[in-house]
Amino acid sequence: MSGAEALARLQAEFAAALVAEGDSGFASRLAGERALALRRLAIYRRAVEANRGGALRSAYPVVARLVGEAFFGEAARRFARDCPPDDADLNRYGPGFPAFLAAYPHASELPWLGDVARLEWAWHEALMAADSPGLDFGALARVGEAGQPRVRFRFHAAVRLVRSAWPVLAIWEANQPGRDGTPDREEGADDVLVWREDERVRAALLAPPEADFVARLMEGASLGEAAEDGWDFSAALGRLAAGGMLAGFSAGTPVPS
Amino acid sequence: MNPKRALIRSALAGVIAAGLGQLASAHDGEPAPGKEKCYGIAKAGQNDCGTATHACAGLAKKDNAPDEWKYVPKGTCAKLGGKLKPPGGK
Amino acid sequence: MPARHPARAPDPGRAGIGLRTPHFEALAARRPALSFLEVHSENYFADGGPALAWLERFRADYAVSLHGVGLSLGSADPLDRRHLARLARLAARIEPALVSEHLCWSSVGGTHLGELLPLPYTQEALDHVCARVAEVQECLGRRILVENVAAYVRFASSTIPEGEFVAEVARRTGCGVLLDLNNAWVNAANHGTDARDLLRAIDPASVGEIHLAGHEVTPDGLVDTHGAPVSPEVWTLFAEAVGRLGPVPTLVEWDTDIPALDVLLAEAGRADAILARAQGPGRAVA
Repeated sequence: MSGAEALARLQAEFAAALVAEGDSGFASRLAGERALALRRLAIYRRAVEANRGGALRSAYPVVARLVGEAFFGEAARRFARDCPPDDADLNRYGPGFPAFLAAYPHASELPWLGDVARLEWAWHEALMAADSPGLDFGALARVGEAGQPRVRFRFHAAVRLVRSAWPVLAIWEANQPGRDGTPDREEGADDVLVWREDERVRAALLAPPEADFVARLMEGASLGEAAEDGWDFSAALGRLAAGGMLAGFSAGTPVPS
Repeated sequence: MNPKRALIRSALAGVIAAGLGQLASAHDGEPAPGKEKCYGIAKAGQNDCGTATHACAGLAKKDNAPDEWKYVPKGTCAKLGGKLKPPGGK
Repeated sequence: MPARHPARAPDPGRAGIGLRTPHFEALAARRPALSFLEVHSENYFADGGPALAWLERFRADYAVSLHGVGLSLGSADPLDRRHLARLARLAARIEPALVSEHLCWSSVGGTHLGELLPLPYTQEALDHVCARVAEVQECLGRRILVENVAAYVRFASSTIPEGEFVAEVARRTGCGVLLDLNNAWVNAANHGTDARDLLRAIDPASVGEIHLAGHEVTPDGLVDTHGAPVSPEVWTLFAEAVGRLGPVPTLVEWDTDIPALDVLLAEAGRADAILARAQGPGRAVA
């Protein structure tokens, strides 16, 4: 076995020992007294679990508060077993946690939990998204009337639309620091627009036609395709532009400069 | 011009006027207060714990063996109980 | 590319502190005199957003040290080019005075453990990690510092003392050493060795930074928690180290149970006093 192979094998065995359910036998690769080596190995095992759980707790603070420490810790442990981090940056750990929670049998009495988690991940991603350039309003002004229905907008990397059958924004707000967890609404199917403006993440509840319109634009529809006949989307488009959510556009035809 | 085209034209005109106006008044501090909620500024980075093996404020004092009670959600969801209305026709 | 920030170098006669979110507001308001601010590189990898905006603000007034925890220099996996590219982008943006990583591994088979895991101290591991350090320095176009890590276990296959291993990495690659005295103390206590062996093995000229931090005493040994004041033994070791090395940019690390800024500044002040003594009689201790 080459030196490189030996190192790869040692590391693979070490990594397996840190997540193994029982004794992995890895202590035989360690120097010193076996019982002590096992206890030292356990320091690393607990740290790996704590770091992964801590990353999820940071991305999903409302879920953590909703379900309590013990439940969250166990859910995080099971999630990490199935989906260990695939990125060295722990801030990016856990995009799959909402889907995991939605399917987690022990959370079946909390059918809205996965959607609350989706909203939290959107918020988390908005915080970490790249800056985007501002919309070139001058260029937009130069698009001729015939080209206007073909305008397709590019969105700022931080913009997210979370659509839920549950009052997720109310639940989320009620579980912010300083609130007692009681939502001010008990019903609603919330469509929540999340974006970043002036280095702050913002969230707004959209009415269904506005949410449909924004969803279509975000999927890449042109203005002509996204506009429902008869529904005035001026305010909706104005909100997107004023919030810096539109980062650019294409007009289908060359824009004269 | 059909009504949809007229709508697109006026909506874009509004966006452009507001946008160019915003640029002209350039960076004069806080944006106009809107109805949206805004939260927090920066989260603590998660990579700090990685340098401090054992880490994260006493969360890892002992091995985390699964127990039945870890499957029962406690926390503030008790307040939500059965009060939340299941989705109707959306 | 023209410089975006004023050129700033750490003052070797003063300590710096780790820049952590709970202190952003207080630091920005008070702007205490500090040698430098150190951040965990990965926490600023986003190409935008509030964390990066804060760091840019602090960079205008302070020298910044980028301290990575995720590059996994010693991993048998191929070097993580995505991670390295993010680090290179951040370095181009922040123009840090120092860039450092750990002499360890934290990922294998594409799975990231989020921990600084020790290497076996063998010729093969030495060859491997030296090639990786060289690769990183070439990609970043600059010298990096590598830090000795806390290791709770030792491998039966190790054949090289830790100090010689660290010194040899610096000698072969031209990288600097980030000498973590708390890690040296924790390892010596946990494995019954002498922390001074590490100090003696390392070429003083290669040491680019010193780390001080607190540990926790547990029934299983000392654990490097970065959640307590620097211990008396590590202060003693620090005084000995600066006596041998002269003044070196020094960082007080505190990452868990983060205290009020004043507590951290008091720890940094204590390091300042020791650094000032190392500068000889020409420089009075304030």
